[in-house]
Amino acid sequence: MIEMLKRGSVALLVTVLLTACGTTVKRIDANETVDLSGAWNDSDSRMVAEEMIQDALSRPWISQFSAKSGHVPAVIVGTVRNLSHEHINVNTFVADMSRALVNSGMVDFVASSQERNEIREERKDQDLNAAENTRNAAGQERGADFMLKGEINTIIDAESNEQVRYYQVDLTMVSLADNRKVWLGQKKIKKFVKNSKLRY
Amino acid sequence: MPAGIRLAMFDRQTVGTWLAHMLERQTMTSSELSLRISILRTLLVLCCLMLGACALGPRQVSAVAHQLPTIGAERALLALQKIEPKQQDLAQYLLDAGVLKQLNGDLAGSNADLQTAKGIMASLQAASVSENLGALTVNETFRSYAGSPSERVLVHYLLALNYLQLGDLDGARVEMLQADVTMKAVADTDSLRGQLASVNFLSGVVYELNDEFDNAMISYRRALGIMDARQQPIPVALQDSLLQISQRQGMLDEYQQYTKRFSRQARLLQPGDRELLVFYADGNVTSKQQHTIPIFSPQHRAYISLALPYYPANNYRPRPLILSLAGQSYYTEVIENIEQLARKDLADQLPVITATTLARAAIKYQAVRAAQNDNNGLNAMLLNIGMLISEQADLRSWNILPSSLQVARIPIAADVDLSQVAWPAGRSVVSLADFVFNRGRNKALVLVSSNLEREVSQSK
Repeated sequence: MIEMLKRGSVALLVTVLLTACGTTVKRIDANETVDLSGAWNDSDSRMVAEEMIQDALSRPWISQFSAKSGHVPAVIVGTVRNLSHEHINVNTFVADMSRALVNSGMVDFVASSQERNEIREERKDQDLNAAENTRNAAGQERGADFMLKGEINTIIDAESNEQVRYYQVDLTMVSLADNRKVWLGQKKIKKFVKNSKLRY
Repeated sequence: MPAGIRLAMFDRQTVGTWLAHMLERQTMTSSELSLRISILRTLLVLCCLMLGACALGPRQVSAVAHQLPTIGAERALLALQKIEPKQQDLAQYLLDAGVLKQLNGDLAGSNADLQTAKGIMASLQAASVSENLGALTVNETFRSYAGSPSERVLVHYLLALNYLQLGDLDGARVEMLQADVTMKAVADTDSLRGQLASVNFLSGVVYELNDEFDNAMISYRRALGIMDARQQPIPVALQDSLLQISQRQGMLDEYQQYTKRFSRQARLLQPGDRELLVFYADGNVTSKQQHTIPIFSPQHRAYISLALPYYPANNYRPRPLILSLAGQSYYTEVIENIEQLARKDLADQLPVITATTLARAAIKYQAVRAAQNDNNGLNAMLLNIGMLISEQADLRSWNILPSSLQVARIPIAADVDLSQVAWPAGRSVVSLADFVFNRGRNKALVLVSSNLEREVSQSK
């Protein structure tokens, strides 16, 4: 009996050790927050987008513009500068915001300057190659009424193996007609990160 | 006695009991026990021999670094890519690969390698129990390579230059902010450990290109403070930066101090003038070597040998990049002497390395003595050989790095035709056009060059 227990224990130990060596993959919900390093991650991006969308849609700039002009405002995404301590992909939350605003039906988004060049090339190609009744003419582009600009800033305070990471995202909607800032959105995120002093 | 030492001495009874348990036996005859201990010791010797081979990768990397000036960056990269780094040497390998890719013009590839190396070095700042135990009992190469304080800061410098060349000013700014955090993390109250004038100067330039003149001034002041503390001559580029920004920002008292100290006024650009910011890398830093020092141990009444790293004597003399513009010659000047920095970093680390080496030598000596006491001459001899072979100094360093970093700020009058300028080989006015950033009425041009890059393109 004792022999069997011993053999079983050794087998279990070997199994545990071998299991520990392999790569494991676990699928998780896209909305689940997993903080690994303390750096900017998908959850921060999502939180910023949600906050900004809610704020942008609840402010009077859309209704005021629509009432005055008779159509929904067209917005173009300008530069969102990353002035933080990290290489952050700002496109993720800008894309989230654009999608939510367009889907709300209260705002139109027009293509950015880079995207426009590609579309104009395609239009030129249509002029040469597409059937006449399917061609899209040049000079019919919708001009934007507002430009969305912004920046991400950070303050890092570190001592030994502890860090406080403060992120501030500021977005501004600027009227292209008269340079008025019609909406200012801001989201702050603060994290306390403590790294282990020991590793295996 | 600590557990590690007891283990290293291979206490006969402990090992015998352990073997008996492993073989599910309650008792074991004396001859069986001796045989198994012999097997175990032989295995240990083999382990030591294999561990001796662990230093092979870093030695191969050092050989590539040594050959770089003669074979050029392209062939050096091919040679490096044939080496398979061990996990604990990965950061060193990637740092070297990152520089070689930069020299070969593969800036995206260079960024990928340097970013990975940076992440590895950051994750290795926590002390490892197993690596320290390995370093204490076998040799220093058991520790994962985490870079010296200067290397951890310099990686941001190289990345920022890559981002500038890619036209990504925000990316360069991120690296400079990270460099600031790293410099604070490695700072020591009694020394200038990890504080680099070159990185602060580049920070100043990046802030200036971003129109953040207050931040630029802070960085230039720091660069000046570091160079003063190191009693180094202040390059004209840094003098110009301090004069120009202090005057621009209306810091009149400070401006007067600089005019007095540098004996000249700020050199202001006229509308339409351009300014060429040159970041030049000269030479290739010396690699570490090993020397063995026999030391008499009064405690053991025997000589024990210590394997320690050192930098061989080097008579490096910085060579400037000379640029001829509109009939006038301009020279780059040294802002960071990496040769000296590397030696200083090693000198700072040497007391800890020596203490660990001494402790390890004592442990190994005890192990051999224990084998001799067993009256097993063959085992003792094999163990002795194994211990000697495994005793190797850690010669790893970021050894594909320039010997010096040099800078220059060169005004280019509006009427000078850039296509008529004799740019360094490997650089042309076309590639420079990518680095132009708008700066009000003037434009800044950034030129990143290396003597290794030049020599390669000249040899083609």
